[in-house]
Amino acid sequence: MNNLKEAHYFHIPSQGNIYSLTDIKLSNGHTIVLIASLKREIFYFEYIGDTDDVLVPTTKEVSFTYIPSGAEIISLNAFNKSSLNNEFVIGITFIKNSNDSDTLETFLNIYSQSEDHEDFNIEDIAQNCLTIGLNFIPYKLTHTELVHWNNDGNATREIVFVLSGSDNMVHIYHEDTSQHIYKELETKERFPEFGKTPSPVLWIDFYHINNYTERITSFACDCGYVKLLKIDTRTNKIIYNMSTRFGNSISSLQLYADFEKPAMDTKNCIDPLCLPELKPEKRDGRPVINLVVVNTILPPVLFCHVLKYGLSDYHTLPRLDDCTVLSCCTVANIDFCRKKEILIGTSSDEILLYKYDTTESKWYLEELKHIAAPILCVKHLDLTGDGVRELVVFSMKGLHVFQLDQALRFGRLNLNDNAENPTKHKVKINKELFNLFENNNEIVKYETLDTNSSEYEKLQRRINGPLLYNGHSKMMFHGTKKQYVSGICENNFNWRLSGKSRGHKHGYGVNFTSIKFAQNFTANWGTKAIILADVLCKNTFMGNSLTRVPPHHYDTSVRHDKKVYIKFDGAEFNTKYVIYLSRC
Amino acid sequence: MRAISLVKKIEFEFSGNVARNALTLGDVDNDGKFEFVIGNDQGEVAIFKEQERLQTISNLSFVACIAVGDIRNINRNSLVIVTADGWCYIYEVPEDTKDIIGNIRDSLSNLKVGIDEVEGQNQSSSNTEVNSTNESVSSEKKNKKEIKNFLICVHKQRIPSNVKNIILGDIDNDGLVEMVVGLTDRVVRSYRWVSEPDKAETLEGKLLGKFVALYKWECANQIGSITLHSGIDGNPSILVAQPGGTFMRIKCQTDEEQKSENITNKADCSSRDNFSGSIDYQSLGISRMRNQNISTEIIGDLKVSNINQGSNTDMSKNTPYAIATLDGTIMLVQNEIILWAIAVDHQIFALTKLDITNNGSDDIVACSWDGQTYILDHEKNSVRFHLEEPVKAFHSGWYNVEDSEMPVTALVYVTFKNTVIIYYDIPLKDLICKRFEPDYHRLSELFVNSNRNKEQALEYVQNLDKKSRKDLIEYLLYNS
Repeated sequence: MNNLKEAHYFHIPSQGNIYSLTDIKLSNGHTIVLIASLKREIFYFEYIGDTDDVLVPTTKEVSFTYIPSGAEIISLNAFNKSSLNNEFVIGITFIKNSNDSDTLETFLNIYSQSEDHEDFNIEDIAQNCLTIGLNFIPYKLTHTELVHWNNDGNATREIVFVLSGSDNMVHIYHEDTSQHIYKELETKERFPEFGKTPSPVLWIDFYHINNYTERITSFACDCGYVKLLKIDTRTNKIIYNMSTRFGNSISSLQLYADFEKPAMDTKNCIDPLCLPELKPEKRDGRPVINLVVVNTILPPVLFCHVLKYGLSDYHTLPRLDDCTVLSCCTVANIDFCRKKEILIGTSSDEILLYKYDTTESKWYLEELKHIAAPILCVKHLDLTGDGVRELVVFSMKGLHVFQLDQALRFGRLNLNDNAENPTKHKVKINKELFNLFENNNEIVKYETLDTNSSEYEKLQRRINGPLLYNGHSKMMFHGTKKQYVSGICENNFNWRLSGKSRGHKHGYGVNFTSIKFAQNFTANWGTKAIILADVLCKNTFMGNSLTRVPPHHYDTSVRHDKKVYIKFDGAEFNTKYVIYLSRC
Repeated sequence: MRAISLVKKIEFEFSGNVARNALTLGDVDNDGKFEFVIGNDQGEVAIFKEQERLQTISNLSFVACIAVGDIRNINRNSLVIVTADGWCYIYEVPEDTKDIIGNIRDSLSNLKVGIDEVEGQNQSSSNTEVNSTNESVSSEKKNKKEIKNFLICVHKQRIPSNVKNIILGDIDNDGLVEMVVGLTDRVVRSYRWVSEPDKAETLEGKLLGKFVALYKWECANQIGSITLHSGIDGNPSILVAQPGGTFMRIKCQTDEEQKSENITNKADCSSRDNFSGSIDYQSLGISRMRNQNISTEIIGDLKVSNINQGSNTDMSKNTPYAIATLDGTIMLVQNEIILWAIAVDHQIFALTKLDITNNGSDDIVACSWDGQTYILDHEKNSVRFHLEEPVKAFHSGWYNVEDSEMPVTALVYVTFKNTVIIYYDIPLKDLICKRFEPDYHRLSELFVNSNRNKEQALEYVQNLDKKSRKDLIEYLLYNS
């Protein structure tokens, strides 16, 4: 997530909650976001600026009618009835605070466009309201497709609102087109999965497979009860039903699909104009459905391939610390490698990025991003309308939009090539080189070093040999003074000289760092020299200033934040390039 | 307008009222790292280094201005503190104590090596290793405590009271740094440090030397702020902000012929009345429209990156300067022509410059009383940051947060809750956000087939309509 920069921040006057953000995807490809704050204000955020490529963020408050003053908004959801035009329906649930404290009135207001308009007009939608009184406190409001199968085997899909409530039930609202009103639907008949639950349902997610013949539903309750069901939409029978119970409240869950078959190769690219017609299943093979469950207190859990293994094949994602509440999650492809990442927002102002390590087949915490306030909701949406998705973070203070940094642009489109090495590595290196220019540096010279030292031969043997270092080579930087470069090129780095210029905080060895850090070791004035080296690094430990020999089985000493790596064996690193630079 | 939120911050406790110019970022101890210095109305000055308070100087009177610069022209920075009642202090790190500290450090590291060699003989006992490192850490800490209070007062002098602005800079192009102060009684004065010749530099820890008053100018109106600015000929001038978005320019360099004249004058033993500077008032174009009494801030010498300058070489090498008024107008001016002006509905009280985006040209950083901070570049692109708290003093500059790291950009806010908030490492690389623009040449490679050759494919890709281009990019990036 280092490559994400904050493109915009919009401050809201009162805080929202985990249910009060919804995205609206317009038929022209634009995506807009609606956010509601506790004290009745609803804001609408979009990017404008069609003329040139400069993005202009715009936010405006939309005054939805029939929300009384003093009302507190609980949840917000929107969907498009039509697949071609903009026929939006927006649902808002709220509590009306009356003066007598014992009567709390709750409502679901449904807004829709009064007439067929070509273009989307939020003001118009906000004026056209249908109110449904509720006899429970509303929780999560979402929508799903209700499939009606005709006798000839064709299906018509109707989108319905799904609302969970404090009466431990899930309610379905659908539009009665003849009378133009919304009515509650009997759940037993069409949604057999929603019975009486032990506690209020906090989160619901749906996923349709096999051309809408089957629906996977998962929901989680306040008490930690999680249920996963598969329903045949033709007969409305439960195919299977699994449940588990966690000891704490579940804040969010998400069903997502990985595709078994590897992605298409770019050589036989299909004409993009017919892309939208291709169903994901057709393109990518059978989906593997996974379920992420975000516990508020316990670690998040990922249930893999739930169609095959049910809830038995699970991974626990490591927690960072025990005193934060995990509030939300999204599954997204952030760094363009094949496997999707899991992003989890916390109450301690952080987004955790979990990645899957294919070699060790486990999930690990790759990165941590700090946000200015506790996080309520995270989404991965294309708000700018350029095809590249942004990370939208809804925090207690407002809405943050993180855009992919432009510095990466040159590397982006070749990220899908089918080479063995993920291109991400290349991009990362290039990006670090790119940063050199940004610090007012001028690269004077960039030369490839002569690689015929005896130690290089050894290194090559180690990299390519069947030894333990296979695949653990890294590119790292070493900052030094200009006059030492020739010596280093001739004889490789000499760890015996450790501490001569800068001390040996993490052990007597040769240090390797990121590019930014390497500059600290260069000369303060004049031409700096930074050497880019191949470093073998497998097992790391935290060394101290007295470490001369690494403990058994370890080879590299690291600083606590992994910014500095110390190597002790001359045959485990080799110089590749030297970059001379000077400050402009 | 684009807005951002900032995450990385340090908060320091500092109580009392802080005057507008009683805070600065600079290298006080000449170690190449930037520190933060702040003073209050109780006569307390605190120096913050990295993430802790390094030193507190107390028992001064109301601190009006603080500046860091090479005022003695010895290639070393000094800390200059001016109090409202007219005392001017110079604080410095004595050079010899630095050597002592260095020696202590050296001996300490030798000690460590000694321990280590002993360790080498019996490596089996890993516990002792831990202990010894702890010891060395603690001794290092002790050592750190010892080197605290390292800035000492080397000079104290009476100057006229009621100083409210200070700049240290070369005002007459003689290569030496002078001190210019602005007073609340509409007077600007300049001073130069003169050390006494033919004598030892110090006596009992005090410097032998003094500030010699050079010039005094009186303005027509209250002074907003003062700044240095280089003119077309490269000669510096002092710009003194005057109410209503106007300013007074003082040129005080001596021309060659005048110099010779001076020499002849000197031969005649004439008084110091050889001032040959010029003063002019600039009431920039639209000033009639503005409130004549509104207080004004000015900042000069905005650095322009070479790349930008290439595009408008017809304009002289003159750098622009920025003016902001309390009613919320921010203007960029070059050669007395307003390049652009924006109006915001917040009361701008502080105007600084800082190259936040690291692109070589200075950005304008303006802060309002309610914490709205505007960052603007020369092309009028802007980004907003809101500190959701009222601000009583603001500064921007470079600061070293960690010992081993490079200095990072910092925005310093002094709040009414007795805290100083430093937002550091401002993550702004560009002030504008753009849509992703694909590399058409690469993209076209996908469409080269039997029907299309390279040029046709390129043309095809470039002529894709927006929606299908977006779909294509999305498909390539996310396979969906």
